[in-house]
Amino acid sequence: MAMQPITLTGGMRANLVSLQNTNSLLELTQKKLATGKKVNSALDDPVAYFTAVAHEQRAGDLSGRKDEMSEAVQTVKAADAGIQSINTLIAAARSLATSALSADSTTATTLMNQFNTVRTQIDEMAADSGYKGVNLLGGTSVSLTIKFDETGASKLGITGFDGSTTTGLSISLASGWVSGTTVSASTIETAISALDSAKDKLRTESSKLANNLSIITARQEFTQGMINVLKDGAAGLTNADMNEEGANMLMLQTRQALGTTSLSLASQAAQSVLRLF
Amino acid sequence: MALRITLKPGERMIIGGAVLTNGSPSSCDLVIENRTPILRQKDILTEEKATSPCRRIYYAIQLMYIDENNLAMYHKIYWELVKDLVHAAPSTVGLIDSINEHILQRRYYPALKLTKKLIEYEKEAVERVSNGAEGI
Repeated sequence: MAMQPITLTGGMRANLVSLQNTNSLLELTQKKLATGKKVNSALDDPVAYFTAVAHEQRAGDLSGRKDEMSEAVQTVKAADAGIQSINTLIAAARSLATSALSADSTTATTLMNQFNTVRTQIDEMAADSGYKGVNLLGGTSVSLTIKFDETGASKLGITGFDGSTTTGLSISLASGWVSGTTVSASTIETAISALDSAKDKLRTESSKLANNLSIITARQEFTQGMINVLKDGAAGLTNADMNEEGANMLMLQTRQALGTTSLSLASQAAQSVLRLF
Repeated sequence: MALRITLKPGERMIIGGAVLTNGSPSSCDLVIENRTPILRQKDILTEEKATSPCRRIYYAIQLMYIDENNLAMYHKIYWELVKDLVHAAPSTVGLIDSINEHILQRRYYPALKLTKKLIEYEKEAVERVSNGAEGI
């Protein structure tokens, strides 16, 4: 049975077209309601659409970088936690050595053995201070590069250090604290001074890490600010109208002038410099 | 890579935290041999003149440049200002993004130069609505 073509009168056709238009308008309104955006596709307003999309993509790229920075923060924190634990172990080893100085030969031998156990724990701690395979206490060959932007042009490199007792911290295996029945004070004192210099070394490394950590955190916050602004801008782009923007900026100016000026937060040093101009 | 700057008589500038004035009756040439914050008198915005949203942003970046020790504090001020601006005028987001990129890479001078464009845009947009009767 062949289908008969349906003939539409002029009036019916007009009705259909208007119905289609209403449908697409309705669809658009629903889309706007769903997304909260005035422009949803390249057809609505090509320039605003593509600019908004570009900004949102960039915000996405930056989020990736921010995640990497968070990972780097974890690595640095893991290393710092390792250093703190090693510091505690060094303090323990030091008190063992100090006690040995005033102990009898039998006790001194026991203390020496305990000292060596603690020393092994330091090595284990140094080996375990990594995060996701990067251990900044694993030697100077370990390095961590944190990229701050999409291209990686802006980056920070952190080099590890050797946290092991033998090669890095120079804490030797204790031996000869007791010879015969006499406690060898000089041998023990050498061990104590080795512990003190190890502690100094760790303090230096720890402050380096803290410095790097504050750089990464500052960058992280800045990147978050960039992401927020890009998203805000992309969301508002569809309203871009110079007259409206001018009016808004004028309003903002008045609001800022009335508000307590956050600018006077400039440091004394900066203020004294700028006052000369 | 040294930078050569000519200073007119009586002209001031900031070089790495110090304020210099050309005290001689003739122009003088300065050669800056290392990387340090440098800001010429014509590029310096004082607090009294930071009277509009974009000028405030310029002021905040200027503080980051000449007083990097307090960067965290200035970042905070900066983001407040930028957030308000982008809400008021979303079309500035492209320029703001480039400025952010410069700041992130500690290239404050190019950031300031771009912010001047932002100030120009603001001036134009505001003048439009106030019928160009009053400048800012």
